[in-house]
Amino acid sequence: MDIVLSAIATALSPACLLANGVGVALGIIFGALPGLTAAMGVALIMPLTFNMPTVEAFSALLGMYCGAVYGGSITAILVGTPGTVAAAATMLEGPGLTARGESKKALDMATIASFIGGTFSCIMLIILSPLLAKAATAFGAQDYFAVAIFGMAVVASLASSSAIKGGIAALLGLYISTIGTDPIYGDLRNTFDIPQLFSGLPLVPVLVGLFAVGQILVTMEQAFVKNSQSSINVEISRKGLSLKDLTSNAYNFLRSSIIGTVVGIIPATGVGTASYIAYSTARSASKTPELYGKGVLEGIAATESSNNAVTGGALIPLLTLGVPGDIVVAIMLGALMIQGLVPGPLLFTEHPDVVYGIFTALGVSNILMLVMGLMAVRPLAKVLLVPTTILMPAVLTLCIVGGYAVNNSTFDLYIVFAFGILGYLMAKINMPASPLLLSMILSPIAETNFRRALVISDGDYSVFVTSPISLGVLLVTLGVIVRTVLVEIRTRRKLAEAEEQFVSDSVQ
Amino acid sequence: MKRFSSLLMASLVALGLCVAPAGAAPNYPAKPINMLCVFGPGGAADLGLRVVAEYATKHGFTMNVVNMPGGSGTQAAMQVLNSRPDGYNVVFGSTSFVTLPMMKRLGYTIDDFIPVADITDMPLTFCVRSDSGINSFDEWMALAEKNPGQYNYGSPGSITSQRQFLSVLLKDKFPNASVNHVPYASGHEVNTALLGNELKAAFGVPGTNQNYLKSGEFKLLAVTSDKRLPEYPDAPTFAELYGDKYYWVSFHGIFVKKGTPEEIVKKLSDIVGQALADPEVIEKFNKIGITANYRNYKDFVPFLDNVKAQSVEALTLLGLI
Repeated sequence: MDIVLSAIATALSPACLLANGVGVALGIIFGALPGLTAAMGVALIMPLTFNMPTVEAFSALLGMYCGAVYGGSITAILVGTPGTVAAAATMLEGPGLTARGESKKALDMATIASFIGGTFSCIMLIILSPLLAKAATAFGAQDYFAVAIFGMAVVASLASSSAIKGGIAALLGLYISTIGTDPIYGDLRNTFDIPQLFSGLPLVPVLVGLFAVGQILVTMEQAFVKNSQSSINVEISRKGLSLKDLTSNAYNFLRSSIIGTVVGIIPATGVGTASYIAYSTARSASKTPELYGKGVLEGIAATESSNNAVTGGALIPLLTLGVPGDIVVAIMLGALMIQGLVPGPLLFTEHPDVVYGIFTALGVSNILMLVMGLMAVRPLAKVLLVPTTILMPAVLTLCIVGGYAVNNSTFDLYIVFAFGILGYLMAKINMPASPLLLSMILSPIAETNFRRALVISDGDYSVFVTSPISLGVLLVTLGVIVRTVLVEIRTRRKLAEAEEQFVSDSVQ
Repeated sequence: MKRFSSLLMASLVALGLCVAPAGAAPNYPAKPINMLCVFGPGGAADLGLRVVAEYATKHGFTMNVVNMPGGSGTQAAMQVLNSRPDGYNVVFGSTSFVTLPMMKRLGYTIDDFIPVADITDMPLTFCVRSDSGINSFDEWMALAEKNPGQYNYGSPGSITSQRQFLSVLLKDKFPNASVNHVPYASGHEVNTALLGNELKAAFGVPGTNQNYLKSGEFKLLAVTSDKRLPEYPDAPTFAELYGDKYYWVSFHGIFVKKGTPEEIVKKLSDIVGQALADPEVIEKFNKIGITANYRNYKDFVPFLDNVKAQSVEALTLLGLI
């Protein structure tokens, strides 16, 4: 108990509060600016946290995470472009409210919904993760394998809107993850005798390149080549939220927060998925579904509480199993390792100070986000007026510093640029980058544990079905795969029918 | 005017000293020394190096610790080889610093470096669950021989000192046993797997096993140090059990580029020795969970020759060289 209290005290110390506040403020700005994302923000400030004590580092990282997930809603509501993928669903309702002069109402709803969702998931994290950590000591290699395969099946199912492109990105991630030292026998794979590749491609430079540099190049191209710098109006109306707006959404908040937390726990799914599911659930549960799309507060309440609920949910499998729940916490996995901490059940018994410090920091992040959102949304929204042509080169400089700082290695800068170009090309052909990253992180977990399970069982494959955890997870995985294939076949058939119809129409 | 010209002369002399070949080096160190650490920040060995660097900095040797874990430490080694042999770029490495160039084509070997000083040695600790009822390493091996393929052990990596050591011991003393090695990414994961009953033994280092040895969940069967560990006086050394050949520790020491003048090597070695004799440094080492095992630049050489011989035997046995 003393440890818990002192951990809470650490997270509330001035240094941690400052780190957290700076994280939240930067996060809101990163989230609000189109082209800058939560993943990018966390990857960029991570190198700055290396020399901080663990709880302080995580205060900054979690603040950034929460702030960025929330910040996207500001742009979605005021400008009608999503600041981040998390706010894509918010964009369906926000502009309608702004057009009616109710932007302050919409922004306040987004702020309060984000706070409720974030706090709910933080409480779930505090309740569930110690329980799961206890259960996780029973997790064997075959069970970790099953969880990783489940995550990869989810990646595949999410990519089904552009199945082939998502699939190619995921396969690229698989290939990239094989570079380096074989985890079981220690042989070298795909290193082409380049010693810098012996320990594999370093994660942070890859991330910074793929998610930051690539996106910067795309944004700069739009700003310079197409000269599409439009004048943006960030005036905010006066009329605020009424208490009734909140109470009438109480059930909506709860439902959306649960959806967000569960989606957060499932490996590989993140804020984008959560807000769409919560939005469509809220619409089908609504008494006035016909108003959706024209600007209803309910919609914003649903999307914003669910996407911020992902934050705590995604930390649950990260801290207890070392399997990240979404892309952003996958980056935090790196931060945890650099602090010399290994996520997993033992983290809870060996470093309770850190675990409870992280819990408290997440709660603090949500409170700071609420305060800043309600008090400072006007000045913060002004960052949208900074011209892209000034902003992006500044962020690019941060990318280079960040890419170098992780390993003090010039080679890593080549990686940043190579992946920056790859990220740019992928964006140009509408290929999603997240399947690449997720398969790059999940496939080594799957491979290592598959082979480890076989070494332990002395070559007996039955371990994958005799372990109840592994069997259960693999069955669910099978369900996900079957469903994905069926949906894919159905859409293909519909497309084919439509095409036939079109052909026969044109013949007639 | 006279005063000015003498000042000018003095400055010229000073300038001359600066550009003079490092070989003379009467004023080493004239600038900060880069200590390139092949480990990431925060681990026990990295923290130990930082304690030594802090001490040296207070005593006229400004040392900056730079973590370069990239390419399994090869990047740090290459940076030293690409710099002048003037003692301002020092690499802090461990056993893999010796073995990696034996296994892979890196364009250099350990012989391109001059050993300066050993800072800390880590013995290897062979632990089982206390509730397994096994009380000695011989008992464990007897069970392993009776149940081929069922008795495995975990270690924190694929080609670890632990695996090299045990493969040599098994070949020499238990040629009929079939014991699987299960690699993990870190000692913590090995502990988790032993706690979860996935493994039959965890082969680690005292620093990562100590929590569970102290709590009584793990039992130390044997250790590879030359003497029994003071914290666990009941656990025998492998050397006691099977002979002096099985004294096998993982060293952590500093190296400079070949061609560095002996004076500089000696100065560096001496300041490390001075640091490791300091009670405050030793106390900090205890807190980190490591011991000060100073070997000067002369004693370090025969020690490393033994490490090389051990590694060659083990890696040949494992089919890696």
